[in-house]
Amino acid sequence: MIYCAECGTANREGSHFCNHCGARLQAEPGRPCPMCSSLNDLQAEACARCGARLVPLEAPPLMPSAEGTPGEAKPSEGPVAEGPAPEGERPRGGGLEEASLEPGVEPTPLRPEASLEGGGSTQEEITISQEIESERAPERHEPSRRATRMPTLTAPSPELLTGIAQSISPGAIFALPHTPTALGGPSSPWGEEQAATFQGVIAAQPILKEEVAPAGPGDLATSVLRWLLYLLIAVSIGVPLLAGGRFPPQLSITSATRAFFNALEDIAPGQVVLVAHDYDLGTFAELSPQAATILQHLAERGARLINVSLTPQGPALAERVLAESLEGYRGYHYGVDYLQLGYLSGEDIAARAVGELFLDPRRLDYREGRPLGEFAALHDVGGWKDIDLVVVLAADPAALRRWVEQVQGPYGRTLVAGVSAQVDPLARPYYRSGQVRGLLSGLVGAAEYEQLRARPAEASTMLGPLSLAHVAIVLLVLLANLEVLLARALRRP
Amino acid sequence: MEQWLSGPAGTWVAATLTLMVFSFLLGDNPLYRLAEHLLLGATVAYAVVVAVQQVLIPRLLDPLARDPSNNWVLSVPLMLGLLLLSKVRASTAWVGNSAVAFILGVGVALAIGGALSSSLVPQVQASLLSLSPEEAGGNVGLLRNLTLLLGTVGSLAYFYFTVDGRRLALRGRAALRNFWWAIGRWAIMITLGALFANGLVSRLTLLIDRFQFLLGDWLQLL
Repeated sequence: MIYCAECGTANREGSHFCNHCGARLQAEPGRPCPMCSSLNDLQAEACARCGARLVPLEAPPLMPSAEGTPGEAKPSEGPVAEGPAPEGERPRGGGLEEASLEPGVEPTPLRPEASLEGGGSTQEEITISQEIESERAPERHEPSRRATRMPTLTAPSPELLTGIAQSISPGAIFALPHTPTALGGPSSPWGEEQAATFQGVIAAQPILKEEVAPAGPGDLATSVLRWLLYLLIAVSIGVPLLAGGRFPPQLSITSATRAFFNALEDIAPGQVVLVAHDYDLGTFAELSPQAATILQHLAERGARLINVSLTPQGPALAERVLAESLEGYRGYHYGVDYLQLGYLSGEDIAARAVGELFLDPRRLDYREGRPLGEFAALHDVGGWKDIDLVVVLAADPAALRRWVEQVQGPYGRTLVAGVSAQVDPLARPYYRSGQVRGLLSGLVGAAEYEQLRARPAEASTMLGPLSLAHVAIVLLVLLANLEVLLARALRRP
Repeated sequence: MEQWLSGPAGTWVAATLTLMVFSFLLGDNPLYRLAEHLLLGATVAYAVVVAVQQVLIPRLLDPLARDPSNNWVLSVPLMLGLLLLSKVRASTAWVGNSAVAFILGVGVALAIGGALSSSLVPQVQASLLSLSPEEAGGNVGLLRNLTLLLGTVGSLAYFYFTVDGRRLALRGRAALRNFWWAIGRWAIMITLGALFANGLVSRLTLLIDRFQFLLGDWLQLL
């Protein structure tokens, strides 16, 4: 692996640029940071990324070696100092040790050989058993040379690894690159501190989950606050529904909604409009008010309506909307003024092929199962050239993109879209570019449309609870931030 | 069955299932799990029924059975569909490769063609905006165009990973890069914030719909 000098990301061998930040990867030797693994210049004293010190402030006092007399072995005399370390085995926490491995760079013997424990005279010396050695990853160091440095290890306690037995696999630990510097090389104050912390962690007894945090007054308060939050949202929705009435009484109409309205106003009696019901149960509450008011508006304009759906749940939901809002409205009748083609499988392919469905004698309608040629609603409709407007009711951005890319672009049909509120930011670029002539966004868009038509209906009724719920959430956000700021201010001396 | 479900009994079933889902407020529990599994199972089952009843039978099997001589061309998709069944076993999966290749080939060709001609090019054209106040429609229009320009360039710069950071630093251009990265990061954060806020609006709408159902259709309070 090659570690990035900028961000510390591990990249594959042979990479020239970092996969994460794009920085050029260093081919020349460097000094890796023991804290974040960033590769620094050999002369650097502090890590350029995290600021960690790369060299000790002062040479620590001599300490007895685990192998004998102090100063008996110097870092440069280690088994791996005679050649460069393999790239794939660059240790994460090397510091000075890593620098000493580079060819042509003579490391400064800051201190003689010292054990990981910094003394080791009172510690029990053990040898790594064959079982543990067999768990290590294969290495390219010479085994005989490694054996001269690696057999000794100071054990902090007989229960080593007990604390991590249930959280970290020992195999993963033993698979770490086998570097003699971690055990027998020149250690440093910060390295010893890290080692002590690590040993403290692994020596600790495991704590069962149920012993960690018994329920206390704080948890009760949290639970009560959570239920108060639920109650506040429920009240802000339930009370306006029970009280009835409409709030706010007047909406400011956005240009996207007005453009949608104007596109339908341009429809002349007898013109053909394709309505795509691409929604499902999860977004039906948002899009059904839109569908209802749009269909009624089209009926007022005298348009012939062809309803299709590219989602499996779409036809059944569309049937519900058609039955409630269109059947009998302004004398509209199925088969004469509007038609339901049902579900079309194939997504992009289906959207593209809709224009050819009208010529297919095998095609049956959704509601009555009769051939399409028998319906007056499709009289003189032979393809996309006869479709005057496409209305897309989309629950996800892919559905809208599909109709734009496969119908609006290739066939140049005028397209308007009613989308779920969560789709709005992704649909807005198509409206700004003019590919979508009008855009309705969620429940608010439906309410605006009802107001434009001067026929308040379901969306206008739901707008009051939505507005109050928004107010409640904004208040909660403000209160929560205020509480955090106050707590921080009180803690400050 | 349909009349039974559309009557009071269906309302009670729907209300019970809604309350079972709301029971998640008390924590994960068997009632919520049951409702969740019912929803997933019903959704998958419904999709299968729609595919069989609205696609396979009326558009493939029925025409082939009634008039095979005139509808012989339908045997091609039938055969490709049957080949897909070989994917069930790894040893015979290669048999269905031609059907998968046909589906992917047509789908990808349509998607790429549509994306290039109807999304990429028009969107690039739409981002070429004038910075003249007269053409932008006044100062507000100018500000909007400027914001769009900065956001677009910043977002593109933020995702341009192959820039050589060290070389830029040597040339004294690191500040320029960092500036555009900061602009891009903010543009992306604002976009994600807008997406989250709109997602919240959508979810609140669904909640209101459920309240309407419980208070109106079920309890008859509205």
